[in-house]
Parts: sequence; structure tokens; C-alpha cells
Amino acid sequence: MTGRAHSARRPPASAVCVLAALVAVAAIAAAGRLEVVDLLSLRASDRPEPGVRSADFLMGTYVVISAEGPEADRAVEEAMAVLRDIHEHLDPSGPRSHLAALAAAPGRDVPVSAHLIAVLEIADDVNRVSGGAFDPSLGPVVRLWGFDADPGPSGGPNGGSGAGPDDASAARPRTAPPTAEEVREALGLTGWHDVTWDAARRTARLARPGMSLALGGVAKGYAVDRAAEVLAGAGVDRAVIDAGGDLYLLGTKPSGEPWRIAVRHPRAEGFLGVLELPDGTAVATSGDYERCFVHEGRRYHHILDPSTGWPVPGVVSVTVLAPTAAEADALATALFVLGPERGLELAESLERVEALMVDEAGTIHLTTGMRDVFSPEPSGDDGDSSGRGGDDGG
Amino acid sequence: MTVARGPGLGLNPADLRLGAVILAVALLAWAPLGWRLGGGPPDTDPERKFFVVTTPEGRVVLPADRDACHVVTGPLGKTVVQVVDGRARIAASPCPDPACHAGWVDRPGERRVCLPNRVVVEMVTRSGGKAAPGGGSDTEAYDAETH
Repeated sequence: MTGRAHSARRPPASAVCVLAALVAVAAIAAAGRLEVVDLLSLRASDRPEPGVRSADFLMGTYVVISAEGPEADRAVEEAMAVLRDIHEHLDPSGPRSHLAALAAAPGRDVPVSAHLIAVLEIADDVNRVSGGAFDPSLGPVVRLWGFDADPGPSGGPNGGSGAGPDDASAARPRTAPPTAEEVREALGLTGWHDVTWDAARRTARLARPGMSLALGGVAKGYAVDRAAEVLAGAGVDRAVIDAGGDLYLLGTKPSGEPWRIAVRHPRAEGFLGVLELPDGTAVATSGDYERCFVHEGRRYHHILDPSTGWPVPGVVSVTVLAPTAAEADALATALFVLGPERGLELAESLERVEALMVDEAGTIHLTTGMRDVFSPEPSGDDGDSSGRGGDDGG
Repeated sequence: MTVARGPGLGLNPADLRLGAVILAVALLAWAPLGWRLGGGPPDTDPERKFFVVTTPEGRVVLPADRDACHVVTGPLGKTVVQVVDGRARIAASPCPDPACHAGWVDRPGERRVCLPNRVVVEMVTRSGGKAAPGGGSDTEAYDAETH
């Protein structure tokens, strides 16, 4: 009887073991939790004070705005709202798409937004100075090639319409080129002179059935400019607006140093070099390494020659500096189509425009002013097999 | 009168010794395991690098100093993000043009995006680094990339 009572008062040794094990588990869990706490604090630091950062998938690319200064929070929010508004108006499809409305009513004046009118005006300027090398009326050809089916980070120039993956009407990506006859047929549905607009009445018109606009080569840049306007108007100290590599640099860095912009290597892992740029510079790059496919060992990319309807040969990447991102965006395409000789000639003739072009042989061509701001990356050619170079990519 | 005694521990010295030994073993085990799970000493390094993987489902943070293979889900399916030797890449994604996001992310502020599957891989530092425009202490880092 006594022994039984004594036994009831004393926990068995196994209970002590369980207790100790629980303590051990708690200790281990606490150790693991250290990392969880770290990660949570990192999430909070994603918006470091006083910098503000916001990002979204818009205009067929990933847009990031980072800004710093008084009211930067509100300014970034407003800038993102403007970008979303432009996205809805200039998207190839969707309930508010003016591009879809235009394509659906050939031969008629269609009410469009001020954004579309502004983009058409810029496109017209670049079309004119480039002798037609930039031509947003290539919509039917872009669709034929399937380059409106899958948005790449740089959108399309005489190509990508900037359609999102939710664009159900987009063509399927191709794995083989269209026939010459198909290209000729699609080319017959293009022509910049058949795109007209009335800025005062805010209407636009496509002359013939089957026509459509591909604004991927200018709309992103235009959107970046509008966002920059909002941020500058709100008085932010500095900001970088990045729409898939189309950039606008606003203000100066805290250190007073120039902005350092890396130029992606078109054929290898890493960067081609770095641009050191002042306040108020826009940068855009067009490359053949995005939105392309390889068929029988040959690369077919999204930058199409308006005169042939086929991908432009001879050039692999063009980077342009300009006062506005819309100009930089459209000129990058135009110069790509024109090739190094005529392209650089055009860039040299334009005020505050500089260009860097990489040809098929890997030779870098620079305008005079670009030489002052571009430094080649010493390790730029240390490519590895995962780079975007080979024609076995895509 | 009998005084009722609660269950109490009422351990004898042998029990206490056994408990002490088990606790000591547990604590000794915690040290290396805790070190491993916690990634080393309490982390206060403002320049420690991480990869933030953003998807429609949310965000995942992967320390750059720990090799990993992480699978996230986007609208088209599963994307594999690989972290090796302090750099990260989108190793596989159900998109038609993998060349779009080819290459490694190894500098703060750098990113790769698989647009069709809505997956973004970015390198950040604990201090925020390049999240603030022109910020960060690495003078060799880039403020943005054009491509």
C-alpha cells in the first residue's frame, strides 16, 4: 500500500525523458525561428525608409518604380495608377483597349484616349526621321509571327504588341517561321500612311480591314515618361522607373555620383558594360535575344523589318539614350532596323540621342557621346553555358 | 491526520541525474543544429544578401548564402528557382521562351522575370540596398539594368 502511494507521487523516469525531449525540441524550434524572424524583418525592409518601391506586371512587362523624397509614397502610388491607366488603354485587348476598338472599326473614326494620340504622334516622329524603319502599323505581321503571344521583358518594337498572357486573342508562339506568301499577305495589311488621327477631336482610324497597331516599341517608353512626370511633379528627390529595361533616371544619387546602368550582354552571361548617366536620361534597349525562336539552327526574333516583314539580320542589340523613354524606346527599334551604319548616322544627327549597337560579329558600335559614358565590362565575355547566346536557346 | 501530498516531482537523486544528462545532451545537440538552422550567429549584417521570389501567390525569401532549389507556382505551372554559390536563376519555367529569363542574378538590384508565369527573382540586401534609388553601399553595384 505504501509502496503504491509512493509510486503514484513520483513521475516515472520516462516522463522526465519526455520533458527533456520537449525542451530540446523547443530549443531547436527556437533556433529555426531565428531565421523566420530574419525573413520577416527582411520583408519589412523591402520598403526601406526613406526609399519607396512599387512593382507590377503592366504593359506586357514587369514595371518597377523606386523613389525617394518627401511624399514619395503618394507619388509612387500615383505614378503606378497612371501606368495602369495607360496599360488599359493601350493593351491590345480588354474592355478599355482602344487598340482593339480601332481594329474592330476599320475605315471609321474611333474615339481614343489622349494617351493613344500622344503615342501616335511620337511614333510618327520616329517613323519620319527613320525613313519608315519604325512602323507600328506592323500589327498583322507581328501576329503572324506569333510575337504578340508571349510578352517578353522588352516588349516588341516593330513587333510585340505588349499583350499580356491573359490576352486570349493573341496568337500562339511559333516554332517555325511563316511562309513567304503568308508574310507578303500580312505585309499587305500594313502601312503607316493608312493610320490617321485627329488630335483635336481625339479620334483615330485604321484605313482597311485587317489592320492593327503594334505599339510595343513605343508605348512602354511613353508610360515610363508619364510616370516620371508624376514623380517629378510631386517633388521626389530621385527615382528610377524601370519598365522591363526601359528606364528613366530622375534626380541625382545621394552620393552625387552618376547613375550606373548595366547593359545586358546579348550573347553571354553578364553585362556588356556600364553606362554612367546624369539626371533626366532615358535608356532603352532592343535585342534579338528576347522573344525569339530557333528553327533549323536559325534564330527568328521579334524585331521585324517593315519593308520585308522578316526579322532584321545583322544586329543583335541596340541601346539608346534620349531625353524621353518613348524616344529611346522607338529609336532603339528604328536603329536596329537601319543597321550599324545608317543607325549610328541617324543617332548622331539627333540632339541628345546616343546609341550603342552590337552587330552579329559582336562588334560594338558607339556614337561619339556614347563613348564618354559607356565602359565595357571587363568580365562581360565570361559567359557560361546558361547564357542567352546560342542559337540553341529560345 | 494525514496530509495529502500533491503529485509533485518527488524525484530521487537518480532521476535528477538522468534528467540533467538528457538536458545536457539536448543542449549540446541544439548548438550545432541551431547554428545550422539559424544560419549562424544572430544575423545583423545589413549587407547580407537574399533572393526575393515573387509570384502571384506571394513572396518567398531565400538566403543567398544557402544553396537551394525552390519550386513556386504561377498561372502556367511550376517554376524552379535555383540558388547556387550566392547567385540565383530561373532554372525551369513552363514558358515558351526560356531565353527571356536566362542568366544568373548575383548583384543587389538585379532581377530575372518569367513574364508568362509571373515569377520574379530579385537580389536584395537586408538593408534594402538597391531598393532605394541610388542607394546601397556597394559602389560597384548597378542602379538598374537595360536589356
